[in-house]
Amino acid sequence: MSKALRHPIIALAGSPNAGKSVLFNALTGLSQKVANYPGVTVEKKSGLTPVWNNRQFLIMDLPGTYSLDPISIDEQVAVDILTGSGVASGDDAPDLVVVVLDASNLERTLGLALEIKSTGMPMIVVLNMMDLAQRRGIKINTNMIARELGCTVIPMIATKGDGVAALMTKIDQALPIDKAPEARLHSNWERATTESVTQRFTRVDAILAKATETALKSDRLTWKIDKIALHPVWGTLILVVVLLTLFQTVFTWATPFADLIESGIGALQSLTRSFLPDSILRDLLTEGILGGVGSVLVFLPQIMMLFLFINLLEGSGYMARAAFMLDRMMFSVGLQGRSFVPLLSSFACAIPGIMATRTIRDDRDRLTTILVAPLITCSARLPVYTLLVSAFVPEKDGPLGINSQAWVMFGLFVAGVFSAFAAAFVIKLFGKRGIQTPFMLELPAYRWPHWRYVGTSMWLRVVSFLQRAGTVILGLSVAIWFLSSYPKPPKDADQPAIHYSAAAQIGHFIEPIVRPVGFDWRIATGLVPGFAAREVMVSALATVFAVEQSDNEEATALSLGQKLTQVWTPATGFALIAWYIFAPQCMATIATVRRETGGWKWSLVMLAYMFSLAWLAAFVTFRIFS
Amino acid sequence: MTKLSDAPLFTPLRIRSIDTSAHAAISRRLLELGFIPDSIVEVRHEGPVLNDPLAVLVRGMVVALRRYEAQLITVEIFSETTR
Repeated sequence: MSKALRHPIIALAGSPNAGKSVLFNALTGLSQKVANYPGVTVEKKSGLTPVWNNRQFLIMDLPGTYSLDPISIDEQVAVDILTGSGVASGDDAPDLVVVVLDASNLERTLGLALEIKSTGMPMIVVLNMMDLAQRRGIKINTNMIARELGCTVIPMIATKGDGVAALMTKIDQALPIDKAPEARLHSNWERATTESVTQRFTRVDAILAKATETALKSDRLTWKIDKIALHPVWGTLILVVVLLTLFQTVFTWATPFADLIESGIGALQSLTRSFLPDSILRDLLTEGILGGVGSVLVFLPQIMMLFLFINLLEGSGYMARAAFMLDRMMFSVGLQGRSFVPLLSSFACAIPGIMATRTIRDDRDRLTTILVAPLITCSARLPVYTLLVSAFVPEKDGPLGINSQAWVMFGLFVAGVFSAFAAAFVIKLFGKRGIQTPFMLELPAYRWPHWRYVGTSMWLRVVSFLQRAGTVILGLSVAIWFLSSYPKPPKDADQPAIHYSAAAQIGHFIEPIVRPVGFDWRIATGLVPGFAAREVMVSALATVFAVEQSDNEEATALSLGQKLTQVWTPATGFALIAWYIFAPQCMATIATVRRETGGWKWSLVMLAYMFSLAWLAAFVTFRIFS
Repeated sequence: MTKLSDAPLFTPLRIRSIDTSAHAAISRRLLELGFIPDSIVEVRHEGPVLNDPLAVLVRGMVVALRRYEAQLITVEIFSETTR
């Protein structure tokens, strides 16, 4: 492809938390995860702008970096692209850098602009968050900054879209269509020394002395909130209350919506039954597809609530405080405060959690976090836990007005966290004692979460969950239905039909391995497709039980949970719950670990240790309760 | 003169020096964040366990540091008279 035809590439650079991702969304219309937490953008993302003056630009959103002297992997990505070294060369190299700075904090962020300027890249500086700067009493003379830096400077409030059109105009003017991009020199910047950094900051101060007037109002509100939120006693209480509220919210507020979905699926099933003649197709539709996908779809409201909560915490700035409060504790088990966000994301799903470990600067801390992240109770376990807890734990009022089942659920979440910490501690014992690496985390000013980004981020989760339900889970549900329906039983069968199916044969084959932990062939049958994704276990059981008892009208009407209690002892139910705390029942996670660690070694280590723990936990639980 | 890790809370401190000899990665990051000689900083918060980490106001921003990181920074109590 000739240079003239390619889309000009614009790189968005800036320090963490300067609002690059918001600007990226404003420029491209794509929705990307945006949060008030330093280091959310962990990999290079790109998107095309709408047509502007007859052409489009390719916008690259780089991970946040404080300087061109990278310490962590995500900074390395940004620096490689900016300096034209490594992977970014030739047509992939950017034609222009847009440096996004937090206008409310120029004394910290302007240095990066100076540094990028010294590489000789064409650049435009964006002063983002002008509203925040104004609120903090900072008056900025953008013309003066432009003159001092020798480049275009655009004031902006990216969350409101102010200044975005002006930026597009300037980008367009800076890159004339008929002019081929200039060949760039690989710059030779020097490693930072006390002198060079001091010099840069002195220059920053000199520019700011000319270009800004500051009434020196530091963020009073943030300071007031933090006096309580970071207090050793009150802050700890707040953290506990926040987490408890999260779980109570997820399990109570979501229930009416879950019930609605459940009855909707039920109505569809009876509708299908009444309209279609008795046939394989009808059974496949009602039991295989509606039953299987429906039993997983029920958990959509809970997943939405969880992500709403996480997004609000990230967007408001509280997440960094939680990392601050927890760092020392995490440090003593071989993790660090920065492991907190990956681990918290793992409550939703281990995959974004493992991806988020790229912001951890220390390789060993990062590997430890990756290895233990799947132990955190992810949302895919919710369907399994909810089913088993509601079936085997009697519902009554518990302490603090929270019912017994919610307490057990909370206990399971705590068990996930505890086991992750214990595993990290063991890994730390085996690992060699390396040098300590920087923790250093910015505590951004509190701000109201931007509803649009909280909304879009949640919506993206919903879409990806529905896509999973519509593809992987639908496919597996149908496959399991076939496996559990065929071959058909002989004419003189004295057992329910499923006993003769292929699924049962696989289940019976695995059964000896899991019999000591109290699992029967039905669970063994469900574990096989459950390796694809945890929640598939629920639809697998639903299918197995629906098929087994479909000749019994009354039994079909019973909920899956009720059916389980008729067939299994509580000991088996609890053992299965214990199994699910540890079992690595997720192909996608294993694949992600392989990609992030660059080989199968750690994926296999993870598989082995998690399956061993699962088997042991289930064994102990089963023995205790039987 | 004292280490930032031993400095009193809520007190303006002037940075005297950063120890760049031992932990290159840590001292580089400290410099980038604005912990440079003659800067004025203030310890704002301490973590709940073993008073670790510290939250330090530097160049208009609050940054969390572990105690062993703060040990690399030598400070003196800042007052108008020491100017």
